[in-house]
Amino acid sequence: MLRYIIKRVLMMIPVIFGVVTIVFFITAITPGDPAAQILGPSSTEAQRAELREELGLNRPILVQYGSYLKNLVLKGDLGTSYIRKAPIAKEIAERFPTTFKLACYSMILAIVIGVPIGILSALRRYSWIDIASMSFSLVGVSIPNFWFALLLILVFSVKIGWLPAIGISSPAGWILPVIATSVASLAQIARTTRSSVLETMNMDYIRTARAKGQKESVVVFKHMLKNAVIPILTVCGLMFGMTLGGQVLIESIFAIPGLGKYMVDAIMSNDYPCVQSSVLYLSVVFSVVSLIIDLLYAAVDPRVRAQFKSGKPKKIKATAKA
Amino acid sequence: MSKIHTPAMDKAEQKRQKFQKRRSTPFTDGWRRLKKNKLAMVGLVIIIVYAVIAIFPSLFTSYSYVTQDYTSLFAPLSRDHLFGTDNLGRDIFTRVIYAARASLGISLLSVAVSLFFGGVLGSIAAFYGGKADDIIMRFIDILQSIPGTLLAITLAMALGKTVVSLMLALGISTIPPYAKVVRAAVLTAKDRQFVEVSKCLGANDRWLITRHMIPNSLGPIIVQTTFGIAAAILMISSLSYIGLGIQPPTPEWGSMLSDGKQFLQMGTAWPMTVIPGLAILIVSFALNVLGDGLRDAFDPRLK
Repeated sequence: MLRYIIKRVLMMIPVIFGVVTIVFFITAITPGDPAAQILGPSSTEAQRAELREELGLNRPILVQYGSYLKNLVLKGDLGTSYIRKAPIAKEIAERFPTTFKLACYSMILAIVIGVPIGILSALRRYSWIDIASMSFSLVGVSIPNFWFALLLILVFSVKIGWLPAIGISSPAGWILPVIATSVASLAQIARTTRSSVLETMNMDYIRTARAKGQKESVVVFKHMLKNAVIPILTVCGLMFGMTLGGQVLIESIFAIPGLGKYMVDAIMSNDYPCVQSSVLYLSVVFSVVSLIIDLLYAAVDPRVRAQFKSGKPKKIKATAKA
Repeated sequence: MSKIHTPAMDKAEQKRQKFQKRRSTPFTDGWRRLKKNKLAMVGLVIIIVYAVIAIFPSLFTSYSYVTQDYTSLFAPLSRDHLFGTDNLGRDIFTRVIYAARASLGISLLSVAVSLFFGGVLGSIAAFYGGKADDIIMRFIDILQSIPGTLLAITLAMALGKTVVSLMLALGISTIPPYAKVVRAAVLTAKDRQFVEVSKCLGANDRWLITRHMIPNSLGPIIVQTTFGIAAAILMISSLSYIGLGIQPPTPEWGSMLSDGKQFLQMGTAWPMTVIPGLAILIVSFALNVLGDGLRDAFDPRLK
């Protein structure tokens, strides 16, 4: 098991390196002169040239990339913001915990509600519970989450006045953002759970378990769920990534001082390095979460462990039937 | 020797032709099953309605989407203004209708971009296997480890705040699922027995590709494309909401919502927030329902 964990952690390094490279070169192809962006249209050519020199923008692109990597790896330095001239790494570190909290709360809500709904829908297929919850989750998959956030504000704070529209200074302030962020993942998790349970329901071993007179609760929890859990885990991992991305708008709507709002503000003011670094940061977090999910596969499924023990860890195929 | 025609032979010939016309391909089978799925057909009808609206918006409204009318700001729903007016007195119904053009057009183009690149990468990986497969799929994995929305935001930011860059950004950031689906589809189609049989019977590559590989691998790709268009529509509205992509005064659902947000606290301005979102919800719902239906139709074993 330990060897498996070490191997997976090592496999993450090229992925993160690739992400850094892609994000760096995406920003590098940006047309236009960053110096002109920073100094504004009233600047003179001499001023711009001086700034380019200062930021090292007139060096060849590969040299820039090299020094970017060096600063990143050795000092954890992500560069400085164009607008505020502050070190980005510090700004991100201050905002990240809020974002991570919001993502975790939403994922917990989505899993705690989505999985039982999915199981129930599968067990009572074509009942009103199934039809109602699957219709709701279809809407949940289709709804733009930022619009849902606006609707929640309109109903619960403007019309009824129960909950605050912005800010997270009180615990009540978290309720609407968490609901808005979780809606898409909740729906997707419910759908995946349903189809995964439905698939295992028709397996021979389920029939065997029932035939030998096993209690229904044991059949459902021990035989069915244990075998249906891999696609559910997969979709939870994917949804975590979607949550991190979707949160960008939610945070700015509810004025939550997290990375998402930071990014939107940076987009508005053309502050490229801030956007670039935030994306990088969140992608790395997403990679770590995916890694944890991968390790969970091995924890819940002896087949995955066995594949590894035989010396040749084969990549398991856990396709999410969304 | 001259050919003899008897009525019975004519009849047999007609039957043969009829049978040939109704040749059973994965497509005709899928379509037959899809037609039975009422929800999916409702989705299809909604999509057709949206398409007609997007192509001929002027048939449905007599207003222009830019004309401002300062005598009726925030007008409520009425016969004159079906969905009321916004903060500049523009007719919301008209703006929602014209916005369909931008959203549908860009989503289709962006899906075409990802389908093209994903298709090329996926089929190269599947055909050649080995090293090419490894390299391409590694690249796809890396691309996929950047959350889609964030990748699209970075790309759209880098390429400039224009419609073309929005389309490219969306297209490129959603390559991974297409590449994976195409790769899997080609791999399965390649290994199917009837392909081998056909090859043994002397079929050339063209016949193999057009008669066997394409029809048998299209199902999952069509399903992915349908879901992809829905996702693209949601993503376009998100990006426009934060000011990337379509710039005012061209109406777009997402940017209309961002206008509406400023007047959220004003009770009477609710149509500005509710209506454009409903427009997005309905079309993406229709696409998702159709996608579900298509998946069940092409892959009946999951039903």
